[in-house]
Amino acid sequence: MTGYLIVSAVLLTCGVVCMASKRNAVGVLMGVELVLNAASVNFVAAAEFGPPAVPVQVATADAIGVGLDGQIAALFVIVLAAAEAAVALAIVLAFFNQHGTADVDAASELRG
Amino acid sequence: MTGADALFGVFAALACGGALGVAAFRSVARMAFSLVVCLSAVAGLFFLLNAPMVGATQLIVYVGGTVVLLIFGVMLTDAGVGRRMKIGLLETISMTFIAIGLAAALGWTAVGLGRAIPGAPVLDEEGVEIVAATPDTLRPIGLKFLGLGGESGVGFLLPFEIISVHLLVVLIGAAYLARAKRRVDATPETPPEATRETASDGLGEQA
Amino acid sequence: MSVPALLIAATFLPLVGALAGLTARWWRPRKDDRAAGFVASACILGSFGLALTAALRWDGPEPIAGSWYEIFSLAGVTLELGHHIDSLTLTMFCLVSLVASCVCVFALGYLSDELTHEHRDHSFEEELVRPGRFHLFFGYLCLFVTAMLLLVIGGNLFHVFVGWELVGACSYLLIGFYYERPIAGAAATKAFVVNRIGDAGFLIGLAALLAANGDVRFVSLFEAAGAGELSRTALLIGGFGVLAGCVGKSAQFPLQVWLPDAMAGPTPVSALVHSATMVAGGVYLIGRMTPALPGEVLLTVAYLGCATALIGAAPALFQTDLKGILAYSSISQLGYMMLALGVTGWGAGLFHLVTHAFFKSLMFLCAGSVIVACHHAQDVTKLGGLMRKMPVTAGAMLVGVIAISGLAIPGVTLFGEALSFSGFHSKDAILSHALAFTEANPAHAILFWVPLVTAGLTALYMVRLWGLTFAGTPGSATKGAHESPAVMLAPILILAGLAAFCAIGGDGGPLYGFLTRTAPEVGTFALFESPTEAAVDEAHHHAEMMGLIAAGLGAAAGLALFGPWRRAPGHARAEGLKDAAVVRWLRSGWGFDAVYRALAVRPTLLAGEVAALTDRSALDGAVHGTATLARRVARFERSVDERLVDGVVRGVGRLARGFGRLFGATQSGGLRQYVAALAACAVGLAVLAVVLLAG
Repeated sequence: MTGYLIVSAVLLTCGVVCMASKRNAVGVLMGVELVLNAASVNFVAAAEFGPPAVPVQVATADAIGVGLDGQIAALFVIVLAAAEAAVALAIVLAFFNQHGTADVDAASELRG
Repeated sequence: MTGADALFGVFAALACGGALGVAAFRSVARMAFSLVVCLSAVAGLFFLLNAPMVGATQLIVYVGGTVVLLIFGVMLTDAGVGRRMKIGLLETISMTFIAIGLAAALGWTAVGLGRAIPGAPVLDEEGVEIVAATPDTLRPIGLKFLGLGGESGVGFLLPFEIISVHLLVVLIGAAYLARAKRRVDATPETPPEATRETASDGLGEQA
Repeated sequence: MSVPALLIAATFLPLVGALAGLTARWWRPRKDDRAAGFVASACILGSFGLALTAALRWDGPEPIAGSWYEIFSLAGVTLELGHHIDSLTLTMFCLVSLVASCVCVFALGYLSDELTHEHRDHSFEEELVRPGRFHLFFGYLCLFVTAMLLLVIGGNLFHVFVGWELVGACSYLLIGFYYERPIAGAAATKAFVVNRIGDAGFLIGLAALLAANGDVRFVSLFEAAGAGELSRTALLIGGFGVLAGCVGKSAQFPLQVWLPDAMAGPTPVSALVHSATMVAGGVYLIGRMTPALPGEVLLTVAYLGCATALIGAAPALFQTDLKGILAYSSISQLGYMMLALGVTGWGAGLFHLVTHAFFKSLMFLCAGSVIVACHHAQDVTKLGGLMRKMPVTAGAMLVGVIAISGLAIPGVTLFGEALSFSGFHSKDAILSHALAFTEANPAHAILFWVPLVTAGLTALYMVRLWGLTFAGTPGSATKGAHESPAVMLAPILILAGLAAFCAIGGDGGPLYGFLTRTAPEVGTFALFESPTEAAVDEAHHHAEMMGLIAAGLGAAAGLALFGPWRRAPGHARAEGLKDAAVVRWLRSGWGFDAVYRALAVRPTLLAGEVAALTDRSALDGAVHGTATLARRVARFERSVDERLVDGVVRGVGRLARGFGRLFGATQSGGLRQYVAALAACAVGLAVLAVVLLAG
């Protein structure tokens, strides 16, 4: 379990760093993907190793860990990530059409 | 050290390396390649975790779909594969500190949590621990979706449907947002029609 | 449909026409468009059809009473709207809707000079040009018909009061139709105010009966009065109060002064409202209330009617205004009806109401026809010799004259009937009752002789009217006169037929029979002795002969003075009488107007002046003082406002702007800075959690 959690932590940190340091909007999106993957690694790991959904005494092979709920959550995360990527790319494209660049630092019209 | 542990080591190393690469590379093309490596390694981790369904989805949707989408994004936005966008030194230093802090906090939590949940021992009828059981999880996942297989009897059909509708809305919204528009600050030497046509061609492929 | 449903539909159908007429300026903006008039005529005709159907369907003498809507019921006092349907109601319904139909159709022709954007009113020294009001007239007319039917259908005194006031309001609108003319406005106001005097009494009577009986439904009132459950005081106050209202509405002495002035309205209005229907409302109500009226009230009714008959007839002799003669004649005839009701001749009085409605509206429509032909000249001294130019109108008018005079050829019978028109039968019935009454009560002999004399006067002034207008040498105003169009002649002919033959058979005929199907029983009174039916029958022959002789004498005198063989122009014959003081006095309607002006109008105006003076000096001073004070307070408040309140508000604004600048600086708009800050916060939170949880 610890190993998976550490991998997840590394992914998340890298994702955050990526989001904070890339000026390219596509790079920022890649950071978001990394963060989401960190989350799904955690989910699947918890499904395998987490506390059992049913008492251990009556547990069968296919009802271990948090059950399959973690895996399903991971599936949802993947699908949502795909949707998010589509929308974000659409925004980036619209922005690019407007400004001729994909630099996020140029997107500061909402500056206070 | 079992084969599973060895495999875990390999995949974990690939995933972390890929992630670090995404964060570290300046070139968008290299970042994309690193991302592919990282995501594939995570898929491998899913297989190791008895979740072949999730792993397969990861490969198909992420590596096959989302990353391709991102690469298209790179190409369409003409961000320049070799072009670098530099950030300030002060920003880099402060970001490094934040990253180290974040990693420390998360690592500490991960170690603590992993120790607290060492992994429940799965026992058979005689009380003997079943090790490395690799059940068939495709069918249970399908049944779980329908709420038929599990003990709780509550399925995930409704969330699934919501996700489907969500996806549909998102795709329509994306198509709307990305549709060709007259560029406001169109350069005088490029006729706006041409620009729009190129853009819509690209979008057609994307959709 | 049941009888009540038919009558309710008939009541509210003209409302459609009223709406059409009142809103026509929006849906028919063109002035030369008769659409509203056609809608109105159709509605009123439909109303007549419904009323006639109801009358034919109604069976039996039992009245149908019902409630529509209870307004409130409190502490044993109930006010409601409802209906009371008996033969009187049905007769009145048919009468009102029929006469209204004829008048409405007639008005389509009469008011055609209103069908323009530039109607020229010649009654001013400088010609007045105004937009025509054709639609509006029909709107008011339909409104009046609805109000009148509402009055007639009323099943309780309160409901009747509602209709009563509504017809009063419509009458005001219709008299003042030519409101640019000062005389019309004044006449409308006068009619309204004089009617209010009577209505004040009505209201008191209504309140008294309501307090005594708990509700004012006719059925329960009659039951309670018949069983002697109501106190004598309540009955007297109630009876005299209602009588006061009826005196005002039916232009009885001493409140008759408004009716001659009301002729300032358009002639169709005079025909419908101020001769046939609305003014008969008072007679109708006395008839309706008869079972609950004590002897004192009935005797007062008889004497008032008797006085009014004479007071109306005398000025009619000397009027020179065509409509004025008819107006005074209406007053006189209404007096007849009241007299009949007073001498317990219930059927006779209401019989005369019906016949009078027909022949008087006929005569007014004929007068309207003459007025249109002679370019709005209505002075009889300037008319004359119209017989050849307008033969149909002259003939119809002659029918009316014979009917109202009560002329007949005795001994000659046609289809077993005395050769006579409707007025003969009804007047005959009234005189019979009066004679029988005076025979039973010799002290009240005057109640027979005055109407008898009046019958002669009636024949005289009516023959004079006809002679001056249609016979003799053509007058100055008759140049270019020609017969009216068919749309005006058709209603005249219909009414002429009704005026001639509606009363066929007299008090044995179908109309009288239907009307008296629900006649109240003649009560017994301490004050006088009610004549028996046998006595009335016996008096019939004498009264018939005496009435006929009186009418014959009057007519003979009229013919001698104003007959067709008199070749002298009309004005010359009238000139001779012009200077006599007594004639001037009578012509002005016995000088009632002058007396009332001195006794009531002047003091009221004086009181108004005094009040105005008080207002100006005392009240205005107080008001001005208050205003000055208020202005000073306001000035002080303004300084407080500007310094204190505004200062606080501005301070708050400045503070908000400062904070805004402070926090605005953090909103860099840079995405990466946001993410970094977020991560830093996460780290900070983790550290905090470790420190706190570990500690």
